[in-house]
Amino acid sequence: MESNYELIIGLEVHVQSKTKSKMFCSCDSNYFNTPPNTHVCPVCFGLPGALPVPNRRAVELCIKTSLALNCEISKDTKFDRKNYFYPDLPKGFQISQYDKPIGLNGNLEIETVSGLKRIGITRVHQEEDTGKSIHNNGETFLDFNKSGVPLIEIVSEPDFRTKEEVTTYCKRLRQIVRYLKISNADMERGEMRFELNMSLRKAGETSLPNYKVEVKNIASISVLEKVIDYEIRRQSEILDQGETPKQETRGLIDMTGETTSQRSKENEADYRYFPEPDIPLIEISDEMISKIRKELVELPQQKKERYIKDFGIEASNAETIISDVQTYKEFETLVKNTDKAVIFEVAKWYTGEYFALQNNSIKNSNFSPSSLVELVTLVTEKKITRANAKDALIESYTTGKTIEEIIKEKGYEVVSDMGQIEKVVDTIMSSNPKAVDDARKNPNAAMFLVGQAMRELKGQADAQSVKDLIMSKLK
Amino acid sequence: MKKNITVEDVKKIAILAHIELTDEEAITYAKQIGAILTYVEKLNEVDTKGVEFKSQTDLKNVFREDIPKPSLDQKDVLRNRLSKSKGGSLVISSVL
Repeated sequence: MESNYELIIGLEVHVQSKTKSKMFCSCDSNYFNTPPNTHVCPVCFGLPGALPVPNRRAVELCIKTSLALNCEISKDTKFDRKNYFYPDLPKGFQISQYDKPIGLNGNLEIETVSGLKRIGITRVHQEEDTGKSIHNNGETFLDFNKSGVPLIEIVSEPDFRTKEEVTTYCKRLRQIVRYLKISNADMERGEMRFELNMSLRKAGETSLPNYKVEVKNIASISVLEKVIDYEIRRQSEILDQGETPKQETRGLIDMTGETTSQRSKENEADYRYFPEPDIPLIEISDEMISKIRKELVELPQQKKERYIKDFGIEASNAETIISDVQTYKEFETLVKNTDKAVIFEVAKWYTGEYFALQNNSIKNSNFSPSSLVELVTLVTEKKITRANAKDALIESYTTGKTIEEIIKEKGYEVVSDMGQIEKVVDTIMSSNPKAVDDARKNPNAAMFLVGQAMRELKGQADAQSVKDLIMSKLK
Repeated sequence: MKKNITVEDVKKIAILAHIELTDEEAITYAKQIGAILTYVEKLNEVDTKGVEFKSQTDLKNVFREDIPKPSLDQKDVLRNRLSKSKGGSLVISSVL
């Protein structure tokens, strides 16, 4: 299909804010694994006389999200009611924002195969989550502990042209809200959810297609990818027949990404948005904005670029390190006092050998990650061979012995006495006259002699120095 | 401004509200709602030119600090609702 059609995607991402209490009432917002309907009050249900009062921290986190996504902040903002009827919304309306979202006209730069691409952010607004419904055996079970939990909605422009761009964007967004402690964005707990707006146009066309398909309630990035694949197939089949796919909302059938038409689709007018009469207007002051701006930290993309530029860390290593808050913090602590020249090598070992160890071996409690830096420094200074360093790392990780102890015990100290190396090289060369002859004709054959010498030195010499010495003696 | 509400309008509203209406009911409600709208229409006679959008109150920036407080007792929550309950969840006939 890629050759015939171009993908047009816009995304709505919902992120649950990490507040202690709900958006408009003081119920505890930590609903995970709590008995049903124990975190609810008259405000959650919208009972007569209940008065919603916005959570200051939640509003601040929404401003913080907007700032991180380079949005303009609406100085005058307000909440609105979005009216619809569904059992998980007993009020009959969701408090959301309509025409004055907190953040407007932002962007997020993502990496693509053809360089950085700027994805437009239409708006960032604050709303509240709904209750949870579980359908079982002809009955629907309702739990309202989740209802009223603060939810930030991030709406993008229809700027995505490939599935990979969508995935990269979602991952970066998740990293950003985690870096900024806005949300844990744990998709398994429903803390980050997606809505897809997608259409296809003929390759070469520049205007937006005259239809748009919306898929709601996508719970993970992997399902989102499957939905895109499914919709590419479905929509291109319709377009191939010269028809236009129906503009509609489609629902997920299961986790395979297959979608189905949903009978009732409410249009924007059907939601009868109007200003929430119970909540006074909100004026976001410059002081408030600058206070929140101070909470911003270096974001993943900036961090990655700095790692590459300042330390020469390889892009793939840098990406691994910045992908997770705990990981980058450990790495940065590790290399805090490390020579700049060694850091890129530490990054390589950290994301390679060290990660492998963490996944495959049991760590001894005495092991200190700083051993890694110690080892890499020794390798860079050619005081231990790479192969021996790997063994030493495993040994240290599993036994908790220090690198120094291990090197001493195993005799890993590199032979740097050139006199001793020369003695060995001379012996090897005189006992292998044919190999010496071959090596004179073809320098590649000298590797046999290097190998012999290294074996004699029990691998504890720098192979390059041995090779250089042999080459010079062959002349 | 629209003064009359059609039977189709009423049916549309009924769908949005998930309410089933008979044709007779739709006709009755169209008349009744139409009458209410016509009555409220009187408000349009007020000249609002130059009047700025205003909130219902002069208050601004009314916030709560992010401090959790106890919620209702689960028993009261369940007693307060019209539907039955099982294991702490409110139960209604399936909406799927």
